[in-house]
Order: sequence, then C-alpha cells, then structure tokens
Amino acid sequence: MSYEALYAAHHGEVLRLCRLLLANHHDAEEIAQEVFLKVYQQFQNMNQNELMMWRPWLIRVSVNACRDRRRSGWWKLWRGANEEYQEAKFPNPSSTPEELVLSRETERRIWRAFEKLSARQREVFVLHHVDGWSIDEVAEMLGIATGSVKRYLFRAARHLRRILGDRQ
Amino acid sequence: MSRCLRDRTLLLLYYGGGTKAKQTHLTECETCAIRYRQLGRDLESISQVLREKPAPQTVSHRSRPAFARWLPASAALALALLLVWVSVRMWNPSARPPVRGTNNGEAWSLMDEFPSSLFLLNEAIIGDLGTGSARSYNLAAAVLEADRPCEWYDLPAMGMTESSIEDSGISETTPFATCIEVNPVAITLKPKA
Repeated sequence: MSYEALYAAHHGEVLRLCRLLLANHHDAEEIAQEVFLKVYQQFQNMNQNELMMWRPWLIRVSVNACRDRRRSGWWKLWRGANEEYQEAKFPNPSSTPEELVLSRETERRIWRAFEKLSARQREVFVLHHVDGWSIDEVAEMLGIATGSVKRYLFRAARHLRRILGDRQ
Repeated sequence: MSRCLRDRTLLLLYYGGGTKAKQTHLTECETCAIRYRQLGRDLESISQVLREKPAPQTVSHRSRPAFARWLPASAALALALLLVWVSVRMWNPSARPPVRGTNNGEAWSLMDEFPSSLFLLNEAIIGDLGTGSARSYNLAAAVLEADRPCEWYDLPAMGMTESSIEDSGISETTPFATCIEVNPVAITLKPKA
C-alpha cells in the first residue's frame, strides 16, 4: 500500500477523530497533518514487505497527539471560554423551521455536553460509539483495562443522556 | 415480578455489566425492555450527531479570553509606572516622605508658621542666663507676645472668668505685658457654679 493510498483511505477518519477530541476544526487539521507526517516517516523507515495494521496505529497516534495538544498550557488559554457558537452551515431543506430550530438546539446541546466530558471519556466514547471499535479494541488501543473502558463509557453516556433527558 | 431497573442499571447492562438477575429481568419486563431500547436509540442519535453533523464552529476560536488579552498590556503599564516612580525617587533625593497621620502640606505649613521669635527667645535666655532674675521671663513674654495675641488664652474654654483670675491672686501689676501666664500647678482654679 502506498503512502498516497493510505492518506486517501484514512485522512478523513483521522481528521474527524481529531475534530471530535479537540472540538476545533483548525487544531484538528494541524494535528492530522502532524499524524500523517509521522505516518510518512514510519513509512520510510519500515520494511516494504512488512505488513502493518495501519488503522489502529493511526488511531493511537492521533489520540496521543490530541492529548498532547490539549495538555499544552497555551492551548487552554487560547481557547477562550467566551466563545459563541455559529449556526449550522448545512441546514436540512426538508425540515420545517420549527424542526430545524429544535434539531439545531439539540445538536448544540449534544456538542456542548460532549465538550464537557473528560478527555478520556471523550476518547472512549468516540472510539466505541462513533468509530465503532469494540470495547476490547478500545482498551487495547488506549492501553487501559476493559473495565476502565466500560466505566468511562458508562459515565460519558450517563452525562450525555442527561442532556437529552433535559430536552424532553 | 421484581421492581423495574434504574437508568443506571440499564446503562450498566448496555455496556455488558450488571448481574444475571438484572439481565433476566430485562428480558421479562416489557417496560424495562422499552426503556433499554430507548437508551440504545438515544446513544445512537448522539453518536450520529457527533459523526455526521459538523461541530459548531466558534466565532472567535482564535481569540483569547479577556484577561489573557489585557495581561501583557497591564503588565507593561505597571512596569513603566514602576520605572518612572523609581527614577523619580533616585534623581530627586530631596523628595520628603509624607508625615504619618497628617497631610504633607499641612506639616510643611506648620513648619513655616513655627515662630521665628522662639529663636530670639532662646538668645535672650542665654544672654540673661547668669542673672537668674525674672527679667528674662519678662523679656520672653514680651517676645512671645509679639507673635501670639491674647486670644491664645481662651478663658471661657478653660472654665475661667476674669474675676476668677483676680481671685487667684494675680494682680494687674504682674510683669507680663498683656497676657497672663497661669501656673497650673501652683494655682487651682474652680469653675463657677
């Protein structure tokens, strides 16, 4: 598999993961570039005959890079608390205005609740629910116990559901 | 039939936790089964929003919080003020520190009012030191009198009247020019009833 093919196959997934973990599109793009730079370096150093499971490796590297970015002190300062949310860019034309407002409001609440999750809860929830990895795979990728993954999932889901419960 | 499961237990069961009894209950209780399916739908809709909907972009995601924006400017201003103050202090050593408990200007006006006659008095006393007579005191009173008029003695405030002074044995021939010096130790004055 060539580097270009690898990039084409996984760039979207890595970008989405970074976007979810950092909740910032510009930072996510930067991190995705860093990740694929590492991929390129790894690609040059590895034996061409060697088979590599790129997807778990990419996920692990991306999660670690996002974690490093979140830990940097300036990032916290830079991402001010006084941010305002923009309206959704691609409204569904088939919805009525009321439905549109409601769905926008729900989405906003979900995102806001998601951003309030701890870093680990967010990682675990995204990998399991959004990317579809099993609990065992998530545990292996993040290097934590299966029980811990379940615990993080439980807490994250309870928090997010509470937000949906408030809406109803 | 046992009681229905709590949300927390349903969530535990969803992630593969919970006891065998709870799992059995879930298969038997229709209400709990409906709630369990609703839980799955909620989580799926949340995942769908996160997966498909773009994250709400922030309007000012590159803007820092207000305190972070003003922090360098405030620090620079404070430093500049400090430098100005230090340089003024260094190049102007005659700057006097304010007197504690009083206004600085007040203290200096007090100093200006300090009677120069006191120095005259001092010279007079030194000149007359050898004689020991009351002349020096007369002279002192006369010198003081030049600066301080008789209103200095506020007799009503002291609880005294003209007659009480007369009663105290001080005659008009007392060798003080116009003022009366009352010795508070020797003479005890009683205010009028």
